[in-house]
Amino acid sequence: MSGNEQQLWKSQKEEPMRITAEEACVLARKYGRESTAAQWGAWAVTLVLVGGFIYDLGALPNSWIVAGLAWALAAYIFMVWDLLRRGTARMTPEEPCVVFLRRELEGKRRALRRIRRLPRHCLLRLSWPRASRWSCGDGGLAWG
Amino acid sequence: MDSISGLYEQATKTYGAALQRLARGYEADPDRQRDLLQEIYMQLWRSLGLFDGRCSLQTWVYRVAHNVAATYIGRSRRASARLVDLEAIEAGPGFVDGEAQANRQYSVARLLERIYRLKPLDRQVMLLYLEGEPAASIAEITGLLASNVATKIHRIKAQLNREYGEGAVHERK
Repeated sequence: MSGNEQQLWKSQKEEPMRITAEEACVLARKYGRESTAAQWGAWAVTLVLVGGFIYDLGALPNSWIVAGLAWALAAYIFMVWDLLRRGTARMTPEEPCVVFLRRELEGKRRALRRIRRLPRHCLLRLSWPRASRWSCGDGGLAWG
Repeated sequence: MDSISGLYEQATKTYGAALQRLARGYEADPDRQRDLLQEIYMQLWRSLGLFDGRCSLQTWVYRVAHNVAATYIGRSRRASARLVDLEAIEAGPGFVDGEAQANRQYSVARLLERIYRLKPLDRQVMLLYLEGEPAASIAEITGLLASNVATKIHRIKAQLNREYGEGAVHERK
């Protein structure tokens, strides 16, 4: 068996697919444009949402609506934060594959940890005490 | 730009066939294989501007290809549902009709089915091993220690021998 699987693997008939340097260059430029557009788009949407929220802050009739909108806005910013902060991911082949995979996994783990922490920090510390204060007056829960 | 074009041409000419097999090792669906391969070529083009010769072109190409493929698989989350479908594999472009090819097709399909089940790093080692890369080269590409690579290859070969043995027994029955 030893070595046979290598011969077997290489014996696969290859469908000819070749992308010339010019085509690859065009694809790379298109990808770059799309990445930049996505990042600017995310910034624009974020600014519009934050601006709209601040503009409407005084006009909103109910504090619960304000809290709900603030929560939705925070969740949105949380989700697009990585894109806003560093743009789309770039390949860095100077580093070996294992470092790349570890970095990807650590990124996912950090995001999951942030998601897990978000309700505890934001929902409980901000929304709940405020809600209790609104509903019970100033004698609501002291923490937060 | 010319140096990038030259490097790109050299890379695709030398490793084009290996990259096509690599794409097949990550994605069963022929259309998505082409998408993956296109993305690999595109990212290879983007990366070659940074190529400084500190590692060989081969190491560079394989690193880009495996990193792109691992990201592609992680992003698409299609692996487990599609990749064990033998009919889909056999219907791929690497397979031709005809009785004489049947056994080989079946063996390649079984090999691919096993590859699709592997975790990303094991899959990288497996694919590089199948390309005939020595352990030192695999270690350089993946960043694993050469001893770890040797252990992994040993385990992969043992598993393949065991499964091929079992397959042979089943076929005899």
